[in-house]
Amino acid sequence: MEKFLDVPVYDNVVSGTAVTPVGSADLTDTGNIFAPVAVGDIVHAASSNKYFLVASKIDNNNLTLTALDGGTIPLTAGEVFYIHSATASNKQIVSIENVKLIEQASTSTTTITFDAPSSVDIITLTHLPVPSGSEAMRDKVQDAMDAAYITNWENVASEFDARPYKVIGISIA
Amino acid sequence: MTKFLSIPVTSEGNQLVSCNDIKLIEQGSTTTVVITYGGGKVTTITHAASSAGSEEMRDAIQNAVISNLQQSWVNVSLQVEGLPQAVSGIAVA
Repeated sequence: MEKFLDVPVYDNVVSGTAVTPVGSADLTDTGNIFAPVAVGDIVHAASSNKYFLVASKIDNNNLTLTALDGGTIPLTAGEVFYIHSATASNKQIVSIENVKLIEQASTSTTTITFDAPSSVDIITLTHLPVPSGSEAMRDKVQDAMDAAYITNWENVASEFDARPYKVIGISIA
Repeated sequence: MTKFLSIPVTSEGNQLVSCNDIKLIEQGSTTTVVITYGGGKVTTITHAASSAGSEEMRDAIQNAVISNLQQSWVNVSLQVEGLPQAVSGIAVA
């Protein structure tokens, strides 16, 4: 029986590099880059690996943010950021066959390790952070895998609801 | 149950791509979809360009894999039709 989790991956809306914040803004860039951004969207500050939500949109170059995992605001000039939609997503299927271990690798990553050659034996789900010390996302993946395996063989891909820990990226290595 | 997608490749007829032991399917670029298998092999499907940010070909391949795996064991290969972009080559490494 081939089984997968069908994981919603929230769309990357824009990415860029912060400039010196203006006025009350927590994140500033140029060129009306934030035109497609909406309140509630997910900001991943990649340089510091911290997560925020868009609290308000001052204009198309300036946002205010709410920190999710202790990140410092405003974001300083040079911080590389990725903004993901809070609502729009694409489904990506992730194998749950031959799984050896699921781990909460960090607050914002959960790994699925397979019995496979080392070059392709770990899938990493990058997601909104769980509280420090929590293994909530690991538990969600484990529970979803359990549930998927007791369904009929024709249910090849089981929907995976990761909320509130929305997934923003999936990779294999 | 051994299962394959039968994918039309421009000027090459149809080519079978395994649906078994897939770990992840990714839109590798605007012109490639990458299928990674548990055995360590990687199949790359090269296609006409999708728009930047689109994962339409990955989605189409994923949907075809799921449909194929839901079929009876006697339906070994699934003819993949209506792909959003034409496939120009398939390679494994």
